[in-house]
Amino acid sequence: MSLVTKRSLGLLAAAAVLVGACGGSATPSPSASAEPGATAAPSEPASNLADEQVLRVDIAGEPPTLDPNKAQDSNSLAVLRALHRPLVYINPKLEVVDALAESHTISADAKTFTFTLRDAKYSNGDPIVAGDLVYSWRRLVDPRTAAPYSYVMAEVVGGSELLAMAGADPLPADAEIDALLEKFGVSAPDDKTFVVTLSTPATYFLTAMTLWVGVPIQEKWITSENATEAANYVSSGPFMLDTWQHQSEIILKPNPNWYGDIKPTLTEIRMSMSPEPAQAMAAYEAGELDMLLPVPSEDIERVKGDPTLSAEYAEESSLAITYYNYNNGQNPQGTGIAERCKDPKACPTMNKNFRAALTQAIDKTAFQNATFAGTGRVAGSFVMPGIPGALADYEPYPFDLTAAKASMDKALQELGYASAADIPALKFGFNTGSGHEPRVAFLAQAWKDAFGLQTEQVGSEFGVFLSQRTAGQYDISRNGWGADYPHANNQLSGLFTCGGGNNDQQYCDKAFDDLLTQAASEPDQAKQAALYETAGKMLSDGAVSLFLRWGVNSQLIKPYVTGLTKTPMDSQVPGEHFYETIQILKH
Amino acid sequence: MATVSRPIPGQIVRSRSSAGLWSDAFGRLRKNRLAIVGLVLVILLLLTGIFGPMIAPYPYDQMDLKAVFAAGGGPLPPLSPGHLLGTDQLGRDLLSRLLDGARISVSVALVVQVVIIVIGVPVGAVAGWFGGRLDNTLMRFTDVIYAFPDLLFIILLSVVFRETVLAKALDGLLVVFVAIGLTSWVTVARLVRGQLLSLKETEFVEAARAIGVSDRNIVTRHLLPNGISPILVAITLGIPAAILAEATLAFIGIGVQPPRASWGSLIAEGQKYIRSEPHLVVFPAIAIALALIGFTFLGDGLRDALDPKLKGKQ
Amino acid sequence: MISYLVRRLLWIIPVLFAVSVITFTLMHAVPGGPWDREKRLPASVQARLNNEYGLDQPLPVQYVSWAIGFVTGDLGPSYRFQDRRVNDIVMSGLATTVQLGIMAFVLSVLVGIPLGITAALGHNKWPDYTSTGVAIIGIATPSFVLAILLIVVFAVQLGWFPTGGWKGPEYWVLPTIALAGFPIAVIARYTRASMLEVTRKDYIRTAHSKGVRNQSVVTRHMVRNALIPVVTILGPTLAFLVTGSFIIERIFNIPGVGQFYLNAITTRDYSLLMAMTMLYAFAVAFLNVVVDVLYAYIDPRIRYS
Repeated sequence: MSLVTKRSLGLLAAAAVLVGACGGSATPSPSASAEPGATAAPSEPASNLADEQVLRVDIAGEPPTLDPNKAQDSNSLAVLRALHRPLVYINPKLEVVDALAESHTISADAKTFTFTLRDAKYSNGDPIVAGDLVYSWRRLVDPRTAAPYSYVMAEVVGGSELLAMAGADPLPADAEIDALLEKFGVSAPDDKTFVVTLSTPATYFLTAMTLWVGVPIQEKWITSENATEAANYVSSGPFMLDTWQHQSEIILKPNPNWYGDIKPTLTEIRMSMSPEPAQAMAAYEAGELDMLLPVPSEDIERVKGDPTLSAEYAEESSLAITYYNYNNGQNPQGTGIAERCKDPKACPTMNKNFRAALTQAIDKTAFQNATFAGTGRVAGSFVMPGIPGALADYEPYPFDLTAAKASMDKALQELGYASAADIPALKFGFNTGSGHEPRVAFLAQAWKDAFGLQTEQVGSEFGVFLSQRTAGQYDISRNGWGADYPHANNQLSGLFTCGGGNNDQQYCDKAFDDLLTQAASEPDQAKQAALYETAGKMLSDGAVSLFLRWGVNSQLIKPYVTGLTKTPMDSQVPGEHFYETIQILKH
Repeated sequence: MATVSRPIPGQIVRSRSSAGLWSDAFGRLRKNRLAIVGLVLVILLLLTGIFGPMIAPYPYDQMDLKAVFAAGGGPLPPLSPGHLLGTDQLGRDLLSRLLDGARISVSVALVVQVVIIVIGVPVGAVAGWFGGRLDNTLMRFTDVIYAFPDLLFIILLSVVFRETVLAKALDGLLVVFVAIGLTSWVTVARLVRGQLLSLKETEFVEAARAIGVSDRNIVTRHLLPNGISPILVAITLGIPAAILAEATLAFIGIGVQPPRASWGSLIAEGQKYIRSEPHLVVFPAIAIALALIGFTFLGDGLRDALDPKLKGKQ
Repeated sequence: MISYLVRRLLWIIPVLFAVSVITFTLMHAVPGGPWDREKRLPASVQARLNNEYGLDQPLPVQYVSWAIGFVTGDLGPSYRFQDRRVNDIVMSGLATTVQLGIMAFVLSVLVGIPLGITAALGHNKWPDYTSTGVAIIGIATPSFVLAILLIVVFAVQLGWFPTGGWKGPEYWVLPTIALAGFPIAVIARYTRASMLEVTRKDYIRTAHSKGVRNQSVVTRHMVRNALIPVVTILGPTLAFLVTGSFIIERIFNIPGVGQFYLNAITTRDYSLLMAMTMLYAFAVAFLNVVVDVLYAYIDPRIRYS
């Protein structure tokens, strides 16, 4: 998320809070349950359990890092969720519940969070103290760490100054940075109390704290040589890093000092790192893996038709979306129309009726059937169902060729073209080698059939594609997003805000940004959700992007794996948020 | 003009009249059954590449989603109505796409070899004829090219020149062909150099010089035509390598721009369906196999036919 | 001979230098960088990372500092795997890749040469046709197709071998076969062709007419002379094994440096890319010299000045 938006959000929020705070009502604690995870304890009688409690899964590639402050890739996360737990965590219903924290309170002005820690120890036997949380959070926001998710600390007192410092060249002196870190809004009045002070109210902050980046970290551990290698790794979660054979295998074993109520039944989790999805699929079928996520979409039909495999197959909703960008014409900084779109005829996607026409010409169900093996849920808006503020069934531009032609006629009139065939071929960008070709071909063909619209399909290598898309060089491009944490703010801010760090639709509308700022300081959950719904409707009504489908996790699970606690946030391993409940039956 | 020369042991030397040499070789080629098979396949490939798309039942990018959905989704198998070899998951006819892919394979065969000849022959000729320091420098230069990992070079080149006219030509393939050519010309250069090194010491060259024929004419009108056979063989045998290189690159996502498909990209797409719809891999693989076999056997046959050590001994 | 060998080996150094400059330049000419992700990093964080890894320096400066590190044996930090040094990454994968290459090479020689010899000896009879048939399959099947087929048939359906990984001898079988398929065919064909040529030579007829027994004729004269062209294609064969390993390692999930190579290009892991390019360039250049020396050794008619 870009700092520009964060700062402007902050200023506006400060103004808004003066209105909100006068209400005087304390923000209710988001969840009633006190048990970590609030998940069901495994209930299989011991006689049914296999002698060997070993789980074999694949995480699709070597994790670039297992440093909690610095991790960002889904395969790193699949491992980290077993090794560490934050203060608060999600439960299968995506509610925020206490984890490392025994309890927490939020001040009336929604700016101060106080956590009381449980009695807990690391895998090395040392007690987990609040000071470790202070250290970890400071390290996260420290410009010298250059952590990708440091931006979640922007609302904390002193956070935005520290984040801005990261881009400074040269970096200010260590003493100066340390001084700012001292003033950073986290403190540990005693070993069991951790206090966070925000500079502006941020209603999503508690949900953001379920991220892996804010876990307690011992300074003496992370600063030691080769800290993240298996021999030295210190974890605070249900499992420990027993072995890390690079590029080959990670083996996790239970942490004897795990403080949670549910202790792991598994004695070992073996994670392979296959770079080729077809190989992982073959490995599952050969019985070398116990679970597989995702199932390659080309195999789904065969799996569903096979008597054994279809019984092992499941589809769970996931917090991901497949969507395609229209170029809405703004420059990447969000400060005005981009150069290439100064002449509206050069950027037809800047025209709302044009975008509406394109959207109405797509049969999203057919798209899903043809290119995703029918998996998924057709989407008319962005925020995924299950997150407060989502619009699960809102579709202002359903598939309707007549309406599409009508919208296109209006657009052509406004743009000054006689027919769609006169429009110079639109640049349709995508990255090669990831299976997007059929989807791009489907859409291009649909638009050609409906309007005679020409598109130039431009497939590029991934890095090249990213830089082109960021620079706004495409008229239409493919995109996708998966939630970092289950809150509407994570889905909308940064992607659709002016100059947002992940804004690939060249979209900018002050009214939209204002709605998000309002929601950020609205303590009432229902009102908050309503604000996000309004913002979401703005995007859908404006046909800002082509929202196609919300993802599902298509997975294969052997019948002897039981006790899985699945959540829609799983991305690499089913039940990856709660490995401790998994059990293996006799087989 | 028949002249006599003493062949230097271990090196290939040509010293007979051109006309007699070629008819001799062609006779040997005709008797080599495998080579004839290869020749037939090569001619077949060339014809398919030129005329294929005209006889294709559909345009290569035409989708038939109705039929796909009627059958419950997924690629259609061979012998489906209207689709002899089946379709991919968007209903695009495999036979038509294969015929279009033939065009690409023929282009690989031609363009890459043109690049190789245009660079390799002059470099080798200059090095072989002048010898000495120039030869040394050029050979070290070829060492660098030879040592460079070609895959890396091809990938980097095709990515660096993404936005240029070169990259857009031939649906993104021209730059790949040029890159493949740039990494493969070394063998031909070395061959040409070897030929010239041995031939320039022969008596008939001395005689030509004595008459006053210019160096350039000696090289272009006497030495090269006589020395051309191993080059011809090398080129013919280099084509399978180029076709394979294109297929491998397509497999890792570099090369032909969708919706066009080369045989390699068809395999890359199709291998995801290998358990349920193997036809998507089998037919392109057969096509590649036939092309590879054709050029390889033809090249082998040419080599056997043109080998001077076999002359007069059949 | 020795001076020739030393001179050729010394020439490897400027060759490597040239390769490093070309790679470095091309690498940085490509758009995109090591911090690219679908979910973009904040611009300030990218700037900080660039500063930390020296990517904001002018290119010549970056090259010089890389070169100094390279010469002193420090290959730098990996850009993608932020907790690891390139030295470690290469070291941990190198043995695996070399082992795979050697096994594939040995297999292709052990199968290819006898295949070619029996084909030549049984010229135009069934041994010839069988061996030609095997050669056809080897030439015509790209290694990645062969790999996929082997996995589907022998690993998934028959279950005789694992689908991937490198944890013991049973893991070595399928990848080695997949990698060796093409070289077996090439070596077999070259051996057959040169054996056929040699049988027509005068000295063989002389030996025969003198009454020397068939067996010793074969082993002593034919094989030694027939090996000459085989040594010629050793170079390209080894080069093929080197580059073929990229795809095979990926398909079979083998933890060697080849698998990393393709990824390093996509993820713009500059230091890893430079290290592995230098490694491959050195291997190819060195093997080139070895092949040339072997060639001279086997064929006494060839002598280098």
